[in-house]
Amino acid sequence: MRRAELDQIYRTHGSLVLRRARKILRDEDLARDAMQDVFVRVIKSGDDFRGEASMVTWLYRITTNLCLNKIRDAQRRRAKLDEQGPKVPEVKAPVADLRLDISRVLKGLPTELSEVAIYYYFDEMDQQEIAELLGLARRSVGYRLQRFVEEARVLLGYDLPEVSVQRV
Amino acid sequence: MSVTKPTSPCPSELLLDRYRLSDLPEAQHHECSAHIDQCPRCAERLVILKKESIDFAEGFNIPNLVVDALQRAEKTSRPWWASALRPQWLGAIAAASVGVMAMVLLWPQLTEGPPGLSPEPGAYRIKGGFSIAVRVKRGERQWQAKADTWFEPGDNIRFIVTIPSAGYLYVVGIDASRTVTLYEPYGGERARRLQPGDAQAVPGAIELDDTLGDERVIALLCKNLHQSKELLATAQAVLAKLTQEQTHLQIRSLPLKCAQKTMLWRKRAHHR
Repeated sequence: MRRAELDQIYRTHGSLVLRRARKILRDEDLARDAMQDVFVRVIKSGDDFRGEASMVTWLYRITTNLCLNKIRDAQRRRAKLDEQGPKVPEVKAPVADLRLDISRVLKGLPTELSEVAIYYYFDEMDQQEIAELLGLARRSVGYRLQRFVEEARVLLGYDLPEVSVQRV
Repeated sequence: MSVTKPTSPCPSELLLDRYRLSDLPEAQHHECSAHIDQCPRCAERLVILKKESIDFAEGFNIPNLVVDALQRAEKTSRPWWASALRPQWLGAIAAASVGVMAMVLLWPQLTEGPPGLSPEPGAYRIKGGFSIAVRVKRGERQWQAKADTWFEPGDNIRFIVTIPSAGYLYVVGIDASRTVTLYEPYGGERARRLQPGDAQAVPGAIELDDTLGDERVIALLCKNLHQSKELLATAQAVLAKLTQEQTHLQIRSLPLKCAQKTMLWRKRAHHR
């Protein structure tokens, strides 16, 4: 990849990567870090990305997965700090936004559940759209969402309502 | 337990982004466009996405970390001989290479006919004749491309094929920037199985982009279904094997057992 090509991809697709990272991470600095990571991944992929059917879809997936990694890394760091010092009780945020609670659930779950939940709850994609995006059967998406809801019930202590999150 | 949510008729953000960046297959693009035309909320969402993109592009500044990664990647992708060659060898190697390179570069030009839609040697063939033609639409004007046709950015093109026996059609382009594009099936869709017939119009029109220069285009009619990714990867692999002195125009066919026709598209800026 040459600099001119990187400039072109960054200029046309950078805003969607940053928006997506902000949405998932809810932190400006982390989102900008994630955006850097995404474009480093684009560079490292060499010409492989040209084989993707859709550049946008590919960037959506990479951004989602890298953001989930960041969430998990932060969780691990916190767990280490907890081991080293006196445990500080976590202050539960008021349930003003369903996505805040979902973000809490994402921290401890495997990627296969977390990414489906993000596409469903954050992006309001329907199960068919998620299935096409991830190359899965629609039934598998439904199954993963069921598992996510069950995990969420344990972690949050209540059932996730039917999706009523407004699109951003 | 089942997970359900009310189905929204509005496109997701991903679809809107793909629409905004003309990344959707034609049918889906039209469907999305029709929805936006009658949905004020989605029209507003689209305006916000566009504005956000413009704002980003105006102030964009690639972080140093990303630029460094690019420089590292460029260093590692440099061919092995670039660092291995010693300056004192260059004279002798250059002299010895002249003869070889002359053969490599001149031979294809001697065997290549005039640029355009005429078939070129080296392709697999099907008895009875697989042929492909290109229909061009520029503004109100439509015509069938010939050997001397100059394409222009924004031209709408359609493929017209004559097929002797049923098969899957693929059209791969390698443009002057060495970017590989799959024109058919469009947008990474699954290839359509075409039935035998003369002068069939392949559904869907393609708008040519802004890349100028000569583009090598290879049409393949295959008995077996291939994945779009496989086609693109095959073309990229062939491209990767070219030396720096060879051009993409020297690619005449892809290593796939399909009937193949080769075209040369020449594209220039809008011309009066």
